Amino acid sequence: MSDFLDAIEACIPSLRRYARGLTHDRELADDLVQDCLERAIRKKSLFRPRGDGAVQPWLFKILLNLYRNQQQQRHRRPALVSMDKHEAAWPAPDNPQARFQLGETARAIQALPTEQRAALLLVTLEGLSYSEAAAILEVPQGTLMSRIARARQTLRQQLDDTHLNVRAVK
Amino acid sequence: MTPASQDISDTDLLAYVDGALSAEAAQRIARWLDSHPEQKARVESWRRQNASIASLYEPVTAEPVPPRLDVRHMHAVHKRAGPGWRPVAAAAVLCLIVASGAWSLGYRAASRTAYSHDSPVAEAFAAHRLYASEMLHPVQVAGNRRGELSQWLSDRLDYRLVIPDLSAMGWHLLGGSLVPVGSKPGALLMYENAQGRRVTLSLTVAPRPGDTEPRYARSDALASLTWQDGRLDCTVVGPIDHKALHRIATAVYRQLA
Repeated sequence: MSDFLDAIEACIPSLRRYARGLTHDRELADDLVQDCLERAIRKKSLFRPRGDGAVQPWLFKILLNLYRNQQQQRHRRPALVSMDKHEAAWPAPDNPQARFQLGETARAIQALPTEQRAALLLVTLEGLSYSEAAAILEVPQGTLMSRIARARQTLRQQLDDTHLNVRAVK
Repeated sequence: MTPASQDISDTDLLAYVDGALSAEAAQRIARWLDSHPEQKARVESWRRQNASIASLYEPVTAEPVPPRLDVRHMHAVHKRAGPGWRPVAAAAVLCLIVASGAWSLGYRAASRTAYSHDSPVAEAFAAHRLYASEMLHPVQVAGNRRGELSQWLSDRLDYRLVIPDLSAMGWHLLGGSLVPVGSKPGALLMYENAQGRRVTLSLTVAPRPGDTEPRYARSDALASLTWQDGRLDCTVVGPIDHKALHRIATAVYRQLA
């Protein structure tokens, strides 16, 4: 059991990072990670993966499913989150232009469809290979790559426009 | 992936930016990009995306982990909470196994006694036998009215139900019904595959929140897997083998998370 707890514990930093990327909200992200860990601990059962390397993808799957369910429910009943909380989650570089652009990037990422954001962040932020990410999302690798390509194209349209505008204003 | 220099696709460029190419293939693409400025601009824009994502969220890993994410504490709390009705469930399943054994030996009376016992598993078998054999009216609300179905059942069970989607495994939602389970309302969802086989998923709100491992039971040609997940008692029943049942149960379990 303690091996199992050690394996779970080792994944916490990346789960928190990924959850922050998904939600862009410190509290929501840690809520998600907490739910995920609690479920993992409750399920030391048939559903538990075998083998050491299997724990991290399993946790990512649980986290993503919790997140998807949350999104579904929020769709029907949008949660109101205070703006202060949102702003506080953003890192704040000293340079105002850099700060602005990061804010725009965050906004654009959050505006992506859930599955595109989930795919993009698994590869870029978590550094997983296409096959690892595809296994976690339970889609073929081609589907994963087309989701990432669409996400990148949307981000590029929105962000490069922003960059141009910033330059034009100066 | 080793693309010839003339036919480099978006997939190659993507794999290049995501570091999924061999060193040799990556070099080839780098050379190709030098003579294709438009594609180079795209690749650079993707690189900027990566850098922004990293500067937004990478710092999270350096933050101290808040105490509420302490897995050892969670584990201790979980152990204190105890197994709940797990022994009861085990007894019920044992009862069923004994009963189905007796059934196969011809002691029908003994099995009937066991089935009349107030066990969610027995009720799920009974409901499956009754409804899955209906050709014309197997469900009260058809599966193409998924939103209405989930709203209605959520209201009647007083629990926000997600209707699991099993179509990726070839099981399509026929629909759902409201059924009595003991003295309480239960949701019975029915799925059908291309061969016309049917599986049912029974969901009721448990008396006490808790979690149990999935338990397997058989009765004639039917098999079932039962578990409690938080406030829900879940049972999948169908004329399928243990492995197929387990795949369905895993998908249900994940979607009900």
